[in-house]
Amino acid sequence: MKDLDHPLVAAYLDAVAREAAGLSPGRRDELVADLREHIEVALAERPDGGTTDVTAVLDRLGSPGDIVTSAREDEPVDVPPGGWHAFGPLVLLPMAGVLVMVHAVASLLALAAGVTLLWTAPHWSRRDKTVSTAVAVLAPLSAVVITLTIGAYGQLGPALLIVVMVTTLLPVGVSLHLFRSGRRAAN
Amino acid sequence: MVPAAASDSDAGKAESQLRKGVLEYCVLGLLRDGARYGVELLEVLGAVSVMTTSQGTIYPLLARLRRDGLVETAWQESPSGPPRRYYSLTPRGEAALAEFTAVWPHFRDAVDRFTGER
Repeated sequence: MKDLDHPLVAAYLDAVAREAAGLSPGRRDELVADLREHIEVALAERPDGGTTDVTAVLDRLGSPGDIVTSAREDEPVDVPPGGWHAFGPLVLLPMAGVLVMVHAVASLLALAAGVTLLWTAPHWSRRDKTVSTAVAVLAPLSAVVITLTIGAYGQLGPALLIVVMVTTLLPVGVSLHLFRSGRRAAN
Repeated sequence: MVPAAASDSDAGKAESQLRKGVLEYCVLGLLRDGARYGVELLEVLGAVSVMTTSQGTIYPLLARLRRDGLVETAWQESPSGPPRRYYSLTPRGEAALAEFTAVWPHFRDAVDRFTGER
């Protein structure tokens, strides 16, 4: 029992759970539980149970990335990407960026809906979700800040154009990236 | 014996594709003579180098076999350490294994016939 408290084991299982963020919660928990059980039994069968044994057991299990890849190949995503989860964020996140100049409340609503759909979708990795959320929130925010700053100096001509391009194009880029990685996960 | 260093080559790719196709039947075959627990199952599989790259990649397969009802599991106390979860064949698993063992010799012969040296 004590062996499972070893920091290397905890770090290993955390890494598996992180890599498996794209799997459905049920599959992810099942995989982590199976590996935990394996480590516990394998360590009990080794006489010392020290760090050397822990390293050997983890080495033989293989890298968390390889294991999750095999889980993904073996079990295609539970909910096939489609409908709102697949396309909602792709439309709503850029919309929030465009709307911020026109209607702040509508922009916030689009952002909230887009981010919610993004995080409840099963087929994007945690990393994709984090980066997309950061860009979708920061791009319009920085546009507002820049507009207000420049607006205070009374020069809204070409600068405003650049601001609009940044707010519009950054989240569109995110949508394209999400679209591609979503399709990869589905295949 | 194929050295592990070949894994990036085309030969390694063929080996990995073949393994994906037959691994689950090897697992079912290992359970033919009785139940085995996870660590034990992987030790036996791992003793044949062609059959496994890293042990952890087998667990998603075992999970699928459980879900598909080809194997079932039961916990058993062990004289040393934690209880072990034993995997055993269900009637459905036995049927799948029987079907594979009937097909495999023909398959193997056909591949030999086309790819073997004449």
